Amino acid sequence: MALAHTSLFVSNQHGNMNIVDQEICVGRVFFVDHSSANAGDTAQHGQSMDQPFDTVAYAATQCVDLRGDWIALGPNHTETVAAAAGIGFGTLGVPVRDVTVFGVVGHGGARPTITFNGAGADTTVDINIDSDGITFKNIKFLNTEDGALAPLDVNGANCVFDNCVFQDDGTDVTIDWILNVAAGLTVKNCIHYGTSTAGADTWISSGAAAGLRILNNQSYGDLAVANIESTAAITSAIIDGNWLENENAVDANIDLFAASTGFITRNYCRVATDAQVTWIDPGNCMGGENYGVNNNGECGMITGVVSV
Amino acid sequence: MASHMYLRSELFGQWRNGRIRPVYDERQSAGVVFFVNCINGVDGVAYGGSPETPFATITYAIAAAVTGRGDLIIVMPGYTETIATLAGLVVDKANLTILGMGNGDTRPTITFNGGGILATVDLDVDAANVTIENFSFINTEDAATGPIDVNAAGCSLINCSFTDAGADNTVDWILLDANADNCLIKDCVNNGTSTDGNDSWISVTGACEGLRVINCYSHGEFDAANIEFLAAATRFQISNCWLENEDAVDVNIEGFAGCTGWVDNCMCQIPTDTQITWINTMPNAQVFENYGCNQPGETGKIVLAAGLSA
Repeated sequence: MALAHTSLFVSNQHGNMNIVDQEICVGRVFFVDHSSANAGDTAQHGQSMDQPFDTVAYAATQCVDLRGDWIALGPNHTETVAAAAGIGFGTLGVPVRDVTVFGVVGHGGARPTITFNGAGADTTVDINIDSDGITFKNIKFLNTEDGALAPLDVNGANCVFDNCVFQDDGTDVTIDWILNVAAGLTVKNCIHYGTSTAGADTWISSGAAAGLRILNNQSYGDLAVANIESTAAITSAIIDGNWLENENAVDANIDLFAASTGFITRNYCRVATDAQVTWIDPGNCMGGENYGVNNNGECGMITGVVSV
Repeated sequence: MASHMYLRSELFGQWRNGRIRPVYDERQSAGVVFFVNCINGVDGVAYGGSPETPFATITYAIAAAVTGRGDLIIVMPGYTETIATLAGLVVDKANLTILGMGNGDTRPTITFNGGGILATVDLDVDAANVTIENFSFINTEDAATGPIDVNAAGCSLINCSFTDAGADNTVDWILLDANADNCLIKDCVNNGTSTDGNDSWISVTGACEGLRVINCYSHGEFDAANIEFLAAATRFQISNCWLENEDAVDVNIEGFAGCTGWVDNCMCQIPTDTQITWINTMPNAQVFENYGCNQPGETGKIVLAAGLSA
């Protein structure tokens, strides 16, 4: 038997030598950087940062189901989604489960940026996530299409957004940034910069789904429903450790459907109207140690009806 | 003046016999790495050494590992295995890590199924310092008595899920005996049934020390509790867990006289209004900032398991 003392392997992809840590990625790694002069969407590209693919849209079509592929985006990569399903994972009915899309190195302004822009005419611009196990890490999503309906359309189970930024450009409003109908959606360590302009509904809107995890995020906007809503009963959810600020007079930060179950814990909530205490509508979830404030400069109070 | 050659990595490939050999980083992995993939693997001496030529089964990989060397078994996404017998999978090599790849349902899945007649189907952890990470465990054997049986010290279960299929109950998912000192259960999810017939997710059957249950979620209908102690375990830590019990026993953590340790920052939910028995029989444990809820939609109150210090 050939013994390996390491999980680090050299892989030869089209003449390029890559070193891959198999503890993190057991599949192929594709490189994407629109800012590279050598970028191109052909089979001869994408094997290194020296000759990367031009778009995530193309890279997604090169991934193989359950291989554990990664798509690495250069820190200066930019890409515009201009149509519905402008980027798709499993959209054509061919699953590409277990793909990770991650921004390399960049932090803050140096993150790779995916912009949604339907040229003022198409508010259905979006990324369709139709396969299970798709992960996005360290990516900035920017919306410049006023009234965009749902730029991130999650239909595959166990989708993860980790350390991503969701930003409305100027006064361009996003109705619902993440529209989810699948089990196991995780959104963690993310920042949502919405506008102060009326017209948005939510940051995250979920239909019936089990195992939702919304952890350690910051969300701001003028949201006519709430920062986080469920339009049907979610089950076994955990919404924990978030900072949620809503400028809208609806005065809600979390609004869950009546029969929802799980936990809403350790969130800091702010609504716009003094004396309103409607920060959280938990459905049947347990609340614990959530604090709400309704006036600038005040300290938060424990939200909800305390068990006796 | 000659310019320096700057290096971007401490990792080097080794050129041997006309081939580039694997890259070594001895700081990260002192042992041997094996790869397992049930889809294209083969259990044979010529396999297991690379992702392209993996073993077919975890059992074969464990047999190939050397105890105490710090070996690592990497199991590919989509791997499936059914355990149908008592001790159907035995991890008996010390200092061994079994790491699953994939997310959610694409993680390696171990299913327990005794054909409807064998409730003792299980995976035994019988060697010290074994780590099992990023696996999905599913029980389809109604009333399975203890699918994960930990009998050695220093073992870890990290980022794993424990799911009851349909209405199939698991009496106790994880059993820890007196030898299971310093066990770590972290970032795990237990999706139990709402069907009567379960006792617990974690059952501490022996007086082990140093158990840590951290950042876990557990739901089910447990006649005993989500976490139960049947012996005087010591120095345990249960932190930052979300525990939901649908059973009218109304307990999330059931202690034992003489057990010592810490319970902090847990969110506890029971079904019966006005019951306040979320954390029970903990006379010698320290209990900090746990919240308990006894009615859907309510906010938790501070749990005073043994009265407030004064």
